[in-house]
Amino acid sequence: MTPGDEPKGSARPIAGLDRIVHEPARLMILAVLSVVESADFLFIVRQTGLTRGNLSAHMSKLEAAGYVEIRKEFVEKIPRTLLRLTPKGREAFDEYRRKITAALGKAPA
Amino acid sequence: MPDLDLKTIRRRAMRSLLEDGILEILFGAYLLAWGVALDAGSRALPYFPFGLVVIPGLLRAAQKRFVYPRVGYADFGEGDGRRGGGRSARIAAMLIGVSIAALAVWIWRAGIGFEAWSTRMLPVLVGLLLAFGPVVFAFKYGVARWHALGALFVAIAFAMRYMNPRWSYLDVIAAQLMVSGGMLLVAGLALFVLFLRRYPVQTAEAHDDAR
Repeated sequence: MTPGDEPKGSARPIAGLDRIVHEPARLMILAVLSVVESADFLFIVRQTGLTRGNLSAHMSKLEAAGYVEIRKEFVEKIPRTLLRLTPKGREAFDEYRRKITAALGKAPA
Repeated sequence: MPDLDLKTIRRRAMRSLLEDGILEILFGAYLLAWGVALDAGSRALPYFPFGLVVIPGLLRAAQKRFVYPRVGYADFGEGDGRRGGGRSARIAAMLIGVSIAALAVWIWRAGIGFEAWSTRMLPVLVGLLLAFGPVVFAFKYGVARWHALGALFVAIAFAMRYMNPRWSYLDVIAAQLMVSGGMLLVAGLALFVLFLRRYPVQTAEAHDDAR
């Protein structure tokens, strides 16, 4: 059976989910970053409830995958370290949403 | 697993930056000052509407000083999450606009005389206009207390109809602005004190990557 031939409602597409995105903490981080242009570390800590160390570790993985960029910028003359989704990260997140909805959204109860 | 509700995530994230009461303090002080100026017949009265231009700048400065060091910073840009709240806000704005228009037409057709409608109906119009902003923002950002604020402004407006009948319409509106502004200012200060106690200033490192 080739991909695309699975019967309707098959759970097989779940195996193809991006594992970088699929981890709950990273999914939370990407979800928050997807609704903002940029945010600093403290904001993400508050929105996700993760500890700083935990967030930092997951941010490293997301940055290594090219999904998130971390930059020091001046915002209204104050230096801030800002996090934002890259176009690649946004595409990966949107693709994940499509796949998970397709795989589980219409699954029978 | 349902699709991620990004609209709700965005509204909650925006709401987290509106817990401080600073907006209530600024608008409360503005309305209070306007009411006092109106009551005193101040020469500065014609310039008061321009004060609205100053408030966003003051808000940004206050957020930089008090909010971002405590809860972090985010730039929301013009993302998708506004659409749902925006539709409700437009409906609320239309309903308030229609109410004001209907009231104005009724007043015009009723022919009850300028003095009667100015002391009884003008405060209601002012109350509806004051409620406009909070209700629209309540729908847009999901801040529940702003619905209550809009209702409070309208309630104060109706209560003003029963003030001293010897007062002119300007006295009534001045009192309305002072009461509305004063209550808003006190509520804002209370929220601000709670906010400062709940969220202490974070170290500079807390804003940066922990690596």
